[in-house]
Amino acid sequence: MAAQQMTPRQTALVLGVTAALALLVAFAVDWSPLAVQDPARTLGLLNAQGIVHLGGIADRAPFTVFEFAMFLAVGLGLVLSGVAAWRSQPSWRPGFLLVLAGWLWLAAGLRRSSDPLAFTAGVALTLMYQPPLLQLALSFPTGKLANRFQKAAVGFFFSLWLLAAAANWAFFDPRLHVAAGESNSRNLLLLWDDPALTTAIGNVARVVQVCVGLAIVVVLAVRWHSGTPAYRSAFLPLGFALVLKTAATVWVAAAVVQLSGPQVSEALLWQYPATAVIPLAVLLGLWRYRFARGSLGELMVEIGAAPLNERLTGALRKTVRDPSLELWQWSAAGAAFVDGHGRARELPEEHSGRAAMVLERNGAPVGALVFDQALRDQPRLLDAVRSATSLTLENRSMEQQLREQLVEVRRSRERIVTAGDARRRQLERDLHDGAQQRLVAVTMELARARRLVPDGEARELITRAAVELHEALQELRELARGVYPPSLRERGLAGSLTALAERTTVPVDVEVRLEAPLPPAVELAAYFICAEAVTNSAKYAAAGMVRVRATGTAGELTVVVADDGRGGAVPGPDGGLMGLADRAAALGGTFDVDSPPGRGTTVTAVLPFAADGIAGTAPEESGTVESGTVERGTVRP
Amino acid sequence: MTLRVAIADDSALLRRGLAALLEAEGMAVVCEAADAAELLACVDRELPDAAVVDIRMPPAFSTEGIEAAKEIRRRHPDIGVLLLSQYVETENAMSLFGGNPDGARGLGYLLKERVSDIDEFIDALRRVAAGGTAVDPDLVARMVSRPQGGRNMGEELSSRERDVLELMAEGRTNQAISRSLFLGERTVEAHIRSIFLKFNLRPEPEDHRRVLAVLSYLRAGGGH
Repeated sequence: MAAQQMTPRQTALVLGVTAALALLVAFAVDWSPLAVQDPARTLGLLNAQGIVHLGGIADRAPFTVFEFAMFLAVGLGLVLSGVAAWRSQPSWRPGFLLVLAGWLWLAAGLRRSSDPLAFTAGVALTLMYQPPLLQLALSFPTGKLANRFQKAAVGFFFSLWLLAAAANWAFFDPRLHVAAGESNSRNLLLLWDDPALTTAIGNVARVVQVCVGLAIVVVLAVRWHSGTPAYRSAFLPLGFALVLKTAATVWVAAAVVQLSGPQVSEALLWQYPATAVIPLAVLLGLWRYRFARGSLGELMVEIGAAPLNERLTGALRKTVRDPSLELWQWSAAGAAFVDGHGRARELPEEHSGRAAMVLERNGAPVGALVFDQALRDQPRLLDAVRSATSLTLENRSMEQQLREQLVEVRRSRERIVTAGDARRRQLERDLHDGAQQRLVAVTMELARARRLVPDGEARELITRAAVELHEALQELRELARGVYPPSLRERGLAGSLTALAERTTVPVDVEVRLEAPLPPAVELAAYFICAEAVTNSAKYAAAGMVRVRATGTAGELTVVVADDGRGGAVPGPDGGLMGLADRAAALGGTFDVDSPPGRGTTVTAVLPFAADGIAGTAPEESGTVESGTVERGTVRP
Repeated sequence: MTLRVAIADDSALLRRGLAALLEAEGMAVVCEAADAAELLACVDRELPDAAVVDIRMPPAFSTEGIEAAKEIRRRHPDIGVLLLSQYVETENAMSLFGGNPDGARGLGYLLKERVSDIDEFIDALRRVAAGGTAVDPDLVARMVSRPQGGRNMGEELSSRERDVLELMAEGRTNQAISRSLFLGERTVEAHIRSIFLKFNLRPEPEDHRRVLAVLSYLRAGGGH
């Protein structure tokens, strides 16, 4: 049965019929003193023997407005709980059965009428509200009868109840058997009056009723026993109510025969609360259902950052009240579903008692929820769970994607910097082995040429050319140093920082302490950061002194460059400081400039040796979720 | 006397140029090596008076020349080694001179382009071959003019003393210093005593020892 909500028209129709029925009954009730004292019109009492017994009690309680109100309340309660169930369950059957029971209950109120036809109809309908409830109990929670046997049983109940009513009243004229007071109710079912036959029929009917009742109890007990936890959880309130109702009915039946005086009337009043528990039980079931959906919201929140398998599965189990629920991941490598223990699993077969919901994405499976078959009876609940799971999977896969992209971005940035560094090194090598060597060779040639020519203009020219060449070589050397300081290759960070200090016009105090050799990228970044910071201090900060500290542990290098200059340095997009911050960030490190006006500038950079900080902090994953979106879920038996 | 010289440089162009230049100056180039191993083999075989060695050579193109120089000094204390480089750095100089029991004896460290002043270059090479020292003027000037933390060299030394200090640090003899500054040798000696006093250093009688003492002092930033 496809999920089908009660339409507003259906709701209006049901409520209209109910109101009309209640009004009809209210108008039909005969409130004359004779009528309210008539035991034949006692609501809920079908048994002719009971009426005879009640008729013998002089001080029996009359029919009151209070009792009528209780009667209406039970009927309306059945109808309204039916409407509520109809509206919230995808299947219309349970709600409809409750509504039908409510209508039949209310129609039985016609028995308080003085009109013979209405009275007779009321009598015949007295217990007819019970078969729909029995059908509901048997077919719970779908309302749909599973097999031909159940259908036959339900048809049998309706016929038997009707037959019992007819048989009880076919040979019973209430007007002849009321000892105290009188009855003027005309029984249209009457063929002829025969008290002995009536008593015999009554006894047979009681035995049949007890047998049928026992059979129902046995059937329900068997179903309860073989039922799954989910079925039990759902059936519990209704089963409880049915037990209560049955007990009350037995108590009332016994009381009517055994007790005397006003106690009988009081006992009869107990049938109302006993019947009212049934709609209450259904409402309780609905409440549990809604509660389950309510915790679904928590589920989506709670599993946000949780490992996929354990906490999500736990939350899902709690939500659908199925401790056997499992979440299997799809393993693309093994082309199979894998459970929490990493074992490959087959989806459950039909009639195995288990059902599975496959979570698919772009037509490819990503996981499966495996649960008790009984849960298929609550498709909307499962829809919600599926959405939550899918959302979570999607969320996680997006998170995963984002994290991967972030890692990739950082790696690519690191690659760009590393590639840049490699090119710097190569460029310096090329300058050294190419242009510089050749120019040095030229200086040698020129020197020899100068030796060969006598004093004069030519020698003067050669001397000038040599001077120019010397300048060119010096400039080229500075250029090459800016590209990549050769001292870094030769003497490491400490030697390079000393060389840097020698070339700076401001006193620079250098201290380098390393526990482990530095990775080349970190060494170069540290050098450039120090060089830029020292240059800034000498050029702009009017510093009198600069302190350079490089402290390396086994995992990271901390570089601090502090001056006593005027401060107020701000890393701007055009300044070198920003480039240094980028360089530090590319290595997964931090870069910080503290420059209060008038109190010097301190540049601090922390450079980790292993740059992939993001990948390292990623939470442990018990299963990998592929990227993409969960598109649909299919329920498989 | 014909000086016998070994050359080591990974650049064939520079090897040829240098060899031609030295031969034109009447020296004998006994071998032209392309790397340190070749050089050491040659030096062992030929026992030249001096070796002119490029610092950056295969395989790592870093400071192979310095290691080769130390090895030559260890095996043959009489053979001078003049290192050439396209850069001169304090750390390299200290690495070259510092680890030697003889200090800067028989060692030189110059920019490659110093060869363009042939007379100066030949002078440095002969000095090194004779057990003296040659330190590049750029390097010395940089060390002397390096701003010192807390104290100023300029205030401490007279400008004349600075000139003497630089030449002394380059490895020149007193005689050479007096010649280039047009001072009497006695005056030079007085300046040198004054400098060592101001630096709070023990006077060193030998040229190569005082070079190392002065360089160490300057490198340490003037503090002891």
